[in-house]
Amino acid sequence: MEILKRVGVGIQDRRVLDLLGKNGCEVNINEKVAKIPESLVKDCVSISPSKVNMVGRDKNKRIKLGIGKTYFANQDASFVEDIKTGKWRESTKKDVVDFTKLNDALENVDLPIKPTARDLDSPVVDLYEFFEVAKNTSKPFHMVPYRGADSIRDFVVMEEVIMREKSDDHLFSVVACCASPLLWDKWSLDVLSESAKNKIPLYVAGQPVLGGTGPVTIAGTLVVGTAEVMSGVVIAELINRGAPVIYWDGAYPLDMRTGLSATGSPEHSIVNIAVPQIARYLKIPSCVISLTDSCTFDVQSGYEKALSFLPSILSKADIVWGIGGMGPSVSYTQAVMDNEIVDMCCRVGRWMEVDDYTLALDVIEKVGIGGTYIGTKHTKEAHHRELAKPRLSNRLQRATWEKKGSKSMDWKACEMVKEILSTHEPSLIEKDVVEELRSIVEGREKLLIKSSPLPNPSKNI
Amino acid sequence: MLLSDITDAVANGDSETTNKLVEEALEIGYKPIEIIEEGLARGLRKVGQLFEKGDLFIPDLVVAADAMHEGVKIVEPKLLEGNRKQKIVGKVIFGTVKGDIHDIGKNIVIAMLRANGFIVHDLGVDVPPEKFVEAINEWDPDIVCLSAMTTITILQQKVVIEKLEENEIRKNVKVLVGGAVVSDDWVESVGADAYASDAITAIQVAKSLLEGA
Repeated sequence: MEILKRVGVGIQDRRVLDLLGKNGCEVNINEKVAKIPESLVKDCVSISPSKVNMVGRDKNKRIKLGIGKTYFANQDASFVEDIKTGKWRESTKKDVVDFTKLNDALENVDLPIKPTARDLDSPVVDLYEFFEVAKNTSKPFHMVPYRGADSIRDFVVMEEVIMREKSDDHLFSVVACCASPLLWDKWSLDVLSESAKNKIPLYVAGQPVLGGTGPVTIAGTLVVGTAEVMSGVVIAELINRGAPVIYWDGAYPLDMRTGLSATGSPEHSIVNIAVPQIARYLKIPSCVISLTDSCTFDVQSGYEKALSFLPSILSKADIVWGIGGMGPSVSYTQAVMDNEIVDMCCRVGRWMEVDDYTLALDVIEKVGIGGTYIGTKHTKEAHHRELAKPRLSNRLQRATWEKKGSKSMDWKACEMVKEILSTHEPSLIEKDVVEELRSIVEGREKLLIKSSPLPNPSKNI
Repeated sequence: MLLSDITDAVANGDSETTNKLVEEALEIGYKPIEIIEEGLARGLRKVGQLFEKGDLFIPDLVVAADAMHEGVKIVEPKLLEGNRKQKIVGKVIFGTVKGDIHDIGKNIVIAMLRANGFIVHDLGVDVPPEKFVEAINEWDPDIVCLSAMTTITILQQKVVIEKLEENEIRKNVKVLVGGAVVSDDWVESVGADAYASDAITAIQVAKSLLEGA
C-alpha cells in the first residue's frame, strides 16, 4: 500500500484513469499514473468476494475457491512437446483438442487450460478454442481473450448457449496481467474491465521477476506483486462491486548468468508459500504455479515440479496451476506425471488423522509382539484411505523391474497418454448446442474478416 | 592514469564517476577516440571477459554497459569533430513492437550487444512500424532487432517487416527477432533473418548475420 501511495501504477487507459481519479486517487493524465490511497485499497479488498465459484457443463464438476481446498489447473502455452518425436513444436488446434481431452480425464485437473491453436488462420482463434475446449471437457475451463473485451463478450454468449441458464457460477475464467513493474497496459485493462462487468472469475496477476522486473530480494518482489494485484482488485471492484477476483503471482528470479527466467528455482517455491498467506490475510483466493526450467520430460522436470507443488499445497493455495507445463510449452507426458506428483503432494498435505481408529491401540495389542498387520481387518479397511496408490512410480524391485521390460518413467507416461487419448470420451455435448456454437463462431468470423485489417494468427505460426 | 581510471569506473558500473572522468579527460585534451577505446570500451571488455569466465554476472554487465553508454554519449559529439570513426562491430536498432511493453529481455540483450562492441540505438517499447523505418533511415544500422513477448504482439513483427519492404529498405538490413514465442517456423513465415532465444545466443547470431551481410 506504501508503494501504491508513493509510486502508484501506470494505467494506459484513460477511462480507467478517470475512474480512479473520481474515486480518490491522485492521477497524472500526462504520465498516465494513478496513486492509490490506502483507504480505497482497503475498501475494495474488503468488497471483493472471499470465495470464487465455477461450474462445468457437468454440474457436478465445480470449483469453490476460498473454502480451504486446493484445486489444480494447467498453464497457457504456445509450444507443445510432441508425444511421438519428443521435440518441441508450435501448438495446434489438434493439441487444443487432445490436451483438453487428456485433462478432462486426469482426476487432479480441475480447471483445464489449453495451449494456443497457432495453426488457425482466423480472426476468432479464441472462439474456435472455446468451442473445442467446451466439446472436449465437461469441467469448467480457463481461456485467453486474445481480442480483449470483445473476446470476453463472445465467450459470455457462448457460455449461455452451453449452460442454458444464467448463473453466478461461470464456466470459464480469464487472467488480466500487470506488466511488472506496476504497469497496466490497455489490453490487460480491457480484459480486467470486461471480466469485472460480467463477474467472470478473474485472475489478477502480478508476476515480477526477481532482479529483472522486481527487486532481487524475495520480500521486495512480493511488495511489487502485491501492489500490482491490489491495484487490479481496486479497478475491478470500482467497475463492479463484488467482482470475483483471484490473487495470482508466479514470481521467480532471473538467472544471473543467462538473463533467463529461473522458474524452477527454490526462490519460486518460497513465493508459492508466501502468496497464499498474503492472499488469506487479504481474504482473496490465491493462485500460484508450479514450474520447471527443464526443456524435456526428465529428472529435473520431476523434482522441480514436486518442489513447487508440495510447498503450494502445504501452504494451502486455493488453486495451483502448472500441470503439464514446461516453460512456454506443455508436455503430454509431463501432464500425467504432474497428475501423479499432485497426488503424492496432496497426500502429504492431507497429513494424518489422529483418533482412536488411527492410533489403533486395540489392533496393536491384538497383533502383539512379533506379529504382523498385513492380514488384519484394520489394514484391509484403512489402507485405501491411508496409503497413496501411484500408478506411474516404480515400486518393483530391480530384478522384477528388469524382467518386466525395464520400463522407464518416460515410456510409462507416454503409454498412459496414448491410452487416455485413445479410450477417454468426454461427456457429449448436445448436437443442437454444438450447431448453435458453430454458427456463433462462424458468424463472428465472417463479420470480422469483412471489417478488420489487422493481422490474424497466420497458418504458419 | 586517467584512462585506466575511466576503465575502472566503467567496470564498477559507476556512471557518475565515469562521466566526471570523461569530461576531465576531454578538457585535458585526450583524443575522443582514445577515451572511448582505451578508457570506456576497455572497461566493458574487462567485465565481458570476467562474465564469460563466470566470475561476474548479468547485473555487473548491465551496469557497466550503462556506464559506458553514458560516457560515450558525452564523447560522441567530439568524435565527429576529430573525424575519426569509432571502431565498432556493428550498428543495431532495437525495439519492442507496437502494443507490447515488455522490455527486460530487450534490455539484457542490448547490454550484451554493447559489451561485445555493437552500437545500439534503443527505441524503447510499444514502437510503431513507422518509427522503425524512421530510425533505419536516420541511423543506417546493420541489424534491426524486434522484441515481442506474446502470441498476439508477435504479429507486429510481421507488420514491421512488411513496412520495411514497402519502403524498399528491407534489403539494407538484417532482421533479428526475439521473445518467448519465436521459433524457426516463425522466422521463415515472417521473412526475418534469424531469431535468438537468449542474450548469449543473440551475440553469436548478430555476429554471424554481419558476416553474411
